[in-house]
Amino acid sequence: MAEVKLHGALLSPFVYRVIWALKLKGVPYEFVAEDLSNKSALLLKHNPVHKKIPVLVHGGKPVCESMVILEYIEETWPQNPLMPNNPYDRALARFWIKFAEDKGVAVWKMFRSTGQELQNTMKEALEMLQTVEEHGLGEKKFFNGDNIGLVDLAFGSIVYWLQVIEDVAGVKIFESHKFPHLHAWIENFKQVPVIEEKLPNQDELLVALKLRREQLMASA
Amino acid sequence: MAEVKLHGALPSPFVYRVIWALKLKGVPYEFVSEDLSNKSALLLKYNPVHKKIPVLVHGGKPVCESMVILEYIEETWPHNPSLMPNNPYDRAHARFWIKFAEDKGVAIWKMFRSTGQELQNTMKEALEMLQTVEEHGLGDKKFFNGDNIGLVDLAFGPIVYWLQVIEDVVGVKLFESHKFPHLHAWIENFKQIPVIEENLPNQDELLVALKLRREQLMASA
Repeated sequence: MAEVKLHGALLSPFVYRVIWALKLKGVPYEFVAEDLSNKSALLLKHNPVHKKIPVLVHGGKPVCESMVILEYIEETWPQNPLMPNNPYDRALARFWIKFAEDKGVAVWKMFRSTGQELQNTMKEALEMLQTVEEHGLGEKKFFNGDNIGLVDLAFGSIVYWLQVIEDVAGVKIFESHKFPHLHAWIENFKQVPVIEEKLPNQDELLVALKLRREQLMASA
Repeated sequence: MAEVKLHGALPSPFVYRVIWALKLKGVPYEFVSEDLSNKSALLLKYNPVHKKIPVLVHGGKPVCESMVILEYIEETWPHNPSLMPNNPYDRAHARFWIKFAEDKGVAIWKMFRSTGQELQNTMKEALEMLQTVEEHGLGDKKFFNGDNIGLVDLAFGPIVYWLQVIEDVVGVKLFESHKFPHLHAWIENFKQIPVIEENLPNQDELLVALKLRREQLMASA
């Protein structure tokens, strides 16, 4: 099989989506750690448009953008399917993947903001969570049904990081009485064996993100 | 075949993407015109999250978001013409550019709604978007999808076609042919595809409609 390499930086929620997908499919890969303050020539060659990680390189050919990579993984290694098997349910999945991409940014914006801007981004994040709780997840165990799928991976990184970012920013929005479905879902998500083995330790993540936020605030 | 309905409002660029895809596939459909200032209960039921058009309803089941609808059309009616490449790598490439069109194409709509410094900023964003697409997205190809149009062409088609009119409405010029020779050739080829040619809003009528809309926006700002 052609070689698979994943260019990334650990602690990136987007890189974790790809790690989870590769592990769920049982695809062996080599992790290439990138220094984001000093991006390699190879990264810039593989992702000239955005210059970002993750980049999946399969047989020397790069795929960029985490959710695009996940659909590529799903199509290239069809075992253990992570998308529904009919066009209509796939359309629903893609709707929610797009929602996660478009609205999930509120969580990253929260991380980078203070004062009034933090209040605004918290409001955005709350609306995003409310919509997902009510319309996206509903009563299902996972977004993909009985087993996790690409939509779960899309939201998994957002919600897991949110739980740490709340501590870092000193706020609380993801309350279990407000979001009972999502709270049950994230606990189930974290207990899926592949995910459990490949989650950044929350305490280490907290320390790293606290430092990063201090650096951001200092240079603002 | 189960009934296909397209809820939309003309001349929405997002609705046109869906019209083109359905016409290219030869899928008969009924157009349900929505009044965006007075959205129907049916629209709100079909798209409770965004309350927007277009919504494709197939056999009573709604699909929302224009590019999600386009992938659904491609998968549900996979016959020719094929609008996505036939291998995972090239499909990943196409999805990368579809996402780019969705994420960066907004600069055009923001230009339409802005004046003064904000207009200068959005013009800069739009220029960067065009430069990236000219250099990295299209390159020397006739269409984004190769010799024939595909979903990426339908993604960028309304962005560029509407841009040409929005430039006139706003009184600016950024999509210059000497700066964007590939994209200029591409949009001309795009507009000459029979299905597209027969289903394009008339540019003069679009200019009038958008001028009016911009005046309304500026007045209520």
